[in-house]
Amino acid sequence: MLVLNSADNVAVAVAELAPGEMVEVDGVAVEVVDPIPSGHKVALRPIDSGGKILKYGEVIGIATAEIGTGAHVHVHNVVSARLPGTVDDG
Amino acid sequence: MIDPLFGYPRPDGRWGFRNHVLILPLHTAACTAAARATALVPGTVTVAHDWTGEGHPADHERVHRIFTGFATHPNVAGTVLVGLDQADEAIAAAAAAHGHPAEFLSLAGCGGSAATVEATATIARRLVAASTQTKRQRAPLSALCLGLECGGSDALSGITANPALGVASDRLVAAGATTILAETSELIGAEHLLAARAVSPDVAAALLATIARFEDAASALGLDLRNGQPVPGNIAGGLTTIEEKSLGAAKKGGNGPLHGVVDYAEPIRTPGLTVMDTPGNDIEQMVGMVAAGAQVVAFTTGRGTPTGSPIAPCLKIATNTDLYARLGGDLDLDAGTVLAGEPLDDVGERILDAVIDTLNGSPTAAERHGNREFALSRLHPRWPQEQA
Amino acid sequence: MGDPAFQAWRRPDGRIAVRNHLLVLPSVLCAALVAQDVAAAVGGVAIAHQHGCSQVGDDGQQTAHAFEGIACAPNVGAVLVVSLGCETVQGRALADRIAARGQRTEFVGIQDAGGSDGARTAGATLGQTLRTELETTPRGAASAAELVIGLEVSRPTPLAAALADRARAAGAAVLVGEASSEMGELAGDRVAAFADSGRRDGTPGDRSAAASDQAAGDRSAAPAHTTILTGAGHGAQQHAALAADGAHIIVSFPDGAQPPAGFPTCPVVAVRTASRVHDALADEFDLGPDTTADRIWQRVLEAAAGAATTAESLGAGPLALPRLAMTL
Repeated sequence: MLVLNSADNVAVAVAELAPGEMVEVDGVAVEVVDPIPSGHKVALRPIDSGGKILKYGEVIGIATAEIGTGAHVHVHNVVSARLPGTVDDG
Repeated sequence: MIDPLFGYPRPDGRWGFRNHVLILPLHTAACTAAARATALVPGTVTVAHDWTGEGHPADHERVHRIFTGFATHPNVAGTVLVGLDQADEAIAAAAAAHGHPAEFLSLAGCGGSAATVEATATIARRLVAASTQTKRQRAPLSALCLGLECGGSDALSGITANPALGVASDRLVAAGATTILAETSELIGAEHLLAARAVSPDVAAALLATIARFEDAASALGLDLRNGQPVPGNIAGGLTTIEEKSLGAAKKGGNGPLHGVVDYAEPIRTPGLTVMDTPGNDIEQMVGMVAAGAQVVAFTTGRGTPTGSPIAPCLKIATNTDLYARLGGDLDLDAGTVLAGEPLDDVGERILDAVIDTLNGSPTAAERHGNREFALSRLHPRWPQEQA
Repeated sequence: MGDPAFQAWRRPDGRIAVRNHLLVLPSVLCAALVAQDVAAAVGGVAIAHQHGCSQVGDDGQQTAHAFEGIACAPNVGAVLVVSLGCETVQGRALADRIAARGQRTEFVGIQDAGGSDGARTAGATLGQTLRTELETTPRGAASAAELVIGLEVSRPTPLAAALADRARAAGAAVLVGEASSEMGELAGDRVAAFADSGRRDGTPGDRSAAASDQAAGDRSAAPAHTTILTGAGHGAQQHAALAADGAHIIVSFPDGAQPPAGFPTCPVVAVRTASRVHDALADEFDLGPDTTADRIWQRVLEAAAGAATTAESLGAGPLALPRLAMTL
C-alpha cells in the first residue's frame, strides 16, 4: 500500500487485498476489512460521516457514511466535496 | 543532457517533426472524397468529422481555429483543403497567410465527388513531392511543444505515469520548450495548486477564471459534472471523485512555474508550461493541443487506449505494469515500474528520451496502427435548435 | 395498389429488410478504427462517429439510445459492438440492450481483448460468424405495404407530402423527421402538410422491447399511417432517428445550402432542388428538382428491390447525430 502524503487518511492498494489481510503502513498495522481491488483506497483510521478524505495531502471528497479503519473508500461512501448536486444513476 | 532534436524548418519559423501532407475536409460531405484521395496518395493523411458549416458563431470560430491550426501545423508540409463550395475558401486563405503550402478546392467547384477525388489526389501528389525536398536539420529545444494528456486514468495515474511525465515536462520547460496541460474538467480541485505556481497574478487569475467559466457553463446547462467525471473506467480503476482525478491529472504538469493560460486550440506565443481550456474527452483535447501547435503528445493511461492524432505522434505511457503486459501493442512505455522501485526521476528521464526519439522519427504504437482519431469540440452542439 | 412485389429479407419479428447489413458499431470514437478494420475484413458496415465518451446525463443516454435504435433497425441483420472499455457509453451494456431487443449481437472490447490487435482478431472471428449466419436469412416476396419510409424534409417542398400520400396509398408507413418538439416555427411549415398524421417523440430515446412491440403493433393496426418524429435533430441528423424508428429507406430533401448525405444502414434517395450547391453536385442526387412524387416512389421501390442509391454508391460519411450538451 502507498501513502502519498503524511497527512492522508487513506492509502492506495498496489495489489488486490482480501478481508482479514494485515498490511503495515508507516509502522502501523491495518487490518483490511473489505475486498480492495488494486488501485483502490483503504481507510487508515476511522473517518466520521461528513469527514474529509485526504489523499496527496489534499481533500479529495467527503465521507457519506462512517468509514472504519481498513474499509474500502470509494463511490459508495464518498462524494465530491467540490461539485454540488445530486448524482444520477447514469 | 537532452538528446539533440532534428526537425523540418517551416516558413513561419516553427519546426515540424513529421512531414505529412494533410488532406483536410472542411465539410462533412467532403470526408469521403478526402479519404479516397488519401488512399490514392502515399504520404497523405486525412480526418473525418461531422461539421456542416452550420453552428453557433462561437463554434464557427472554434472550428475555424481547429482547421487553421491543422492546415498550418508544423508537422504538415502542405495541405489540400477540400470544401463544400467557395464559401469555405476563407479557411484556406487563413492557412495560406502562414506561408504554408495550402491549396483549396471544393466539391461544388469540381462538380462532384469523383472529380474532387481526382483533383485532390493530383494536388496531394505535387505537395508530397515538394515535401521530400525539406530535410531534417538540428532544431532547438525551444522549438518543441509537447501536449500532456491522460486518458482512461486509474488510481495509479497520479502516482506513477503522471508525476513521471511531470518530471519530463519540467526538464523540457527548463530547456526552453513549451508543454501544455489541458482538460479543464480534470483540473477542478487542483487549480489552487496550479494558481500558486503562476508566474504572475494575471496568469493565476486567468487559470481560476477558466475553471470558474467551465463550472458556470456546466451548471447553466443543468449538468451534473459528477455524472460525466470520473467516467466509468476511472471509477473501476479506483478514482472516486473529480478532485481526486484532477490532483492526479495535474501532476503531468510537473512542479515548475505556470507560464500561461490559453483558449481551446489557441496558438501558444510564449514558451513554458501552459494550461489550455479543453474538454476532458481524450480526442477533443488532443485535437485542441495539436491545433495549437503541439508536435507530439505524451499520453498516460491506466486502462489502455489505442488513439492517436492524424498529424502528431502520440506516445502512450502505461500507469501500471500489468496494463503494459496486457496491452503492450498499443503502448510505448511502462511507468508502473515506479511501484517496483524505479525512481520517478529515472522514469521521467525515459519518457524524455522517448519523446525526443519520437520527434526524431521513431514511430509510436498509435502511428504503427494508423490511429488518427479526430473530433470537433463544440460549445453549442444543439444549435440551431437551441435558438428556440 | 398495383406496386410490384419485390424480394426482401425477413426478420424473426416479421419485419422485412431491404438490406441485410452486418453492422460493426463502435461504442466510442476510440474504437472506431478497430471497428472499421473489422468491417473491412468481414464485409460489414462500420459507423464512423465522434461520440460515446465524456457525455453527461441525458446527452450520453441519447447517444446510447441512438446507437441501440440504429442497431435494431430492420436493415441490420446482426451487430458486432466494438468497445474500448472505459467509455461513457458502455459498449457491453449497449450490446446487452441490443441483444435484449432480439437482435443477433456479439461484443468485443479492446481493453478486454489485449488491445487493438487482439480486438481486431477477435472481432474478425465474431464478425465472420455473424456474416455466415446472415447468409441464411430467409428471403422472399414482400410488398410495398410492408415498407417503412423515412422522410427528411429540410426544405419546404410539396413533394414530401405528395410522396407521403403516394406511400400511404400503397399501404406503406411513413415517418417524418421534425427538428425539435419546441421549435414549430423552424420546422412546422414543412411538416404541417402532413395533415393526417400522428406525432411521436423521435428523440433517440428509450425504446424498450415492449415499446418497440407496441410501435410495431400500432403500425400493423394502421399501416397507412404517417408519424411525425419530433426532436429528431437538424438536417441529416434526422436519418439516425428515422432509421432507429424502423425506416427501411430514407428519402431526403436537403436544404439548398447542404449537400446530400448517406446513411450507413439505409438507402437514401436524395431529391435535389434548384440551388447553387445542389446544381453543382447534381450527380450526387438520385432525382432532380423537376421530379414527381410518383417518380420518387418508383426510385424507392427500385431501392427496396436492391438497386443501390447514389449515396450507397458514394459511401456514407461520418454519422450525423443530434447532441444535447457539450462534451466534458
